[in-house]
Parts: sequence; C-alpha cells; structure tokens
Amino acid sequence: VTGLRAVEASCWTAVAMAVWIASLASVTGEELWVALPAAVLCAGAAIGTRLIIRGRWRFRRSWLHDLAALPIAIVVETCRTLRAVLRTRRPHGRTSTVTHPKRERADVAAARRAVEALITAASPAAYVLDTDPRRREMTVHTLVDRWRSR
Amino acid sequence: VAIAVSFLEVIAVGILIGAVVPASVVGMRGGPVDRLSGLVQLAPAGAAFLMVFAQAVARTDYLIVPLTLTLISFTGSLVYARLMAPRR
Repeated sequence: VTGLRAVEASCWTAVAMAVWIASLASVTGEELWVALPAAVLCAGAAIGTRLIIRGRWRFRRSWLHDLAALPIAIVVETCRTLRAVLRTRRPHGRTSTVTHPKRERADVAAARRAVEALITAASPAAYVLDTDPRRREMTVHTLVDRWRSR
Repeated sequence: VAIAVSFLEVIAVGILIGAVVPASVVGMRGGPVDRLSGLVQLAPAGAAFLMVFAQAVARTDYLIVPLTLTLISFTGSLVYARLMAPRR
C-alpha cells in the first residue's frame, strides 16, 4: 500500500508541476524550486481528499487507449461540427445512456465514472449530462457522430 | 503593402474559423442541452486559439490565460450539465 501511495503521490506531483511549468514564460531553476514543494503539497491534498471520500483508483488500460485517441477525436469531431454548422439544417444532439458493470465495488465504480466523464468531456462532440451511481449509468449528450463511440 | 504572416498566425486563424466560430454558432442555436454542447466546445477551442496566438505573437506570458480558462471552464461545464440533467 505504501509503494502504491508513493506512486500516486509522484503522479500527482508530476501533474501539478506540469501545470505550473505550462504557465511559465521561461523555465528557470528558481521556478522549479518553488514548483516542487507546492506540487508536493497539492499531491498531499489530492491523496488526503481521496482518502476522506474513500475513493479508490483502479487503473484501466482502456483509459490509455482513449487518451491516445483523443487528439484524433478532437480534430475529427471538430470537423464534423463545422460541417454540421455549415449545413442549413441545424444539428440536433441526442442523449444516450452508457451502462457500467453493476457488480463492481462502489468506490472503484465511482473512479471509473469520474475518469470516463473526464475523457468524454474532453472530446468536442460529447459531454456527460448526468451519472447515476445506483444504476451505474452515465447519461451522455452527443451533438455529432463521435469518432470512436463506446 | 506586404503583410508578413507567420505559420502560427495561419493556424490561429484556422482554429478561430474552424473551431471557435462553429462552437459559438452551436451555442446560439437549439435547446439548452444542445447550446451547452456549444459552450463545452467553445472553451477548449478558445484555449487552443489563445495558446497558438500567444506563441505567434511571442508572448508566452499570456499562456496563463488559456490554462486558467481550461481549468475553470471544465468545472463550469459540469455545473451547467448538472443543472440540465433530467430529473429523477
């Protein structure tokens, strides 16, 4: 558990430092020395929050596939939106339901919903309208056809 | 009069016409749920435009604006989506 927590802390620290560095006009040693303790504090806060809400991450390989496909999805779905807008008929969105496994532990299922909602919202054509923890369902609104529908 | 246009400026205009304008149009037509779709698209498209534009004009200190926009717009979209979710 300690090893996994160290990995989790390292990942959060790396993410927080990346956000800091992304906002810099030029990266200097001093900035990195300020960024590191701030990022460690953020990582501590993230892990603390997860423990308080009793969240539990279980990494899934499909998330990596979805993330890798995201840049292509953004370009393709943006082009489809442009095409839909250029047509005289206005695009009508549709709402669909994505069902998750019902036998999954509640905390693992919550993490799955959070990550999938984030990945879905990152693609231009769709966003998550609602999630139902009891039914293990996610309501997704789609404006145009998605590049790789689930 | 010769006007020098850099490659990044061309990309910035491309994003503006190809992504920001369509997202704005979607955000102005249809029902609330469809309009929210436009708003959801507008934030990343705007952030991408601002990022490329900051590089094109060599003002990387402006990058904090799209970064903040991205972080705030995501949570903002979640709030709007929550308000428009079907009642159970």
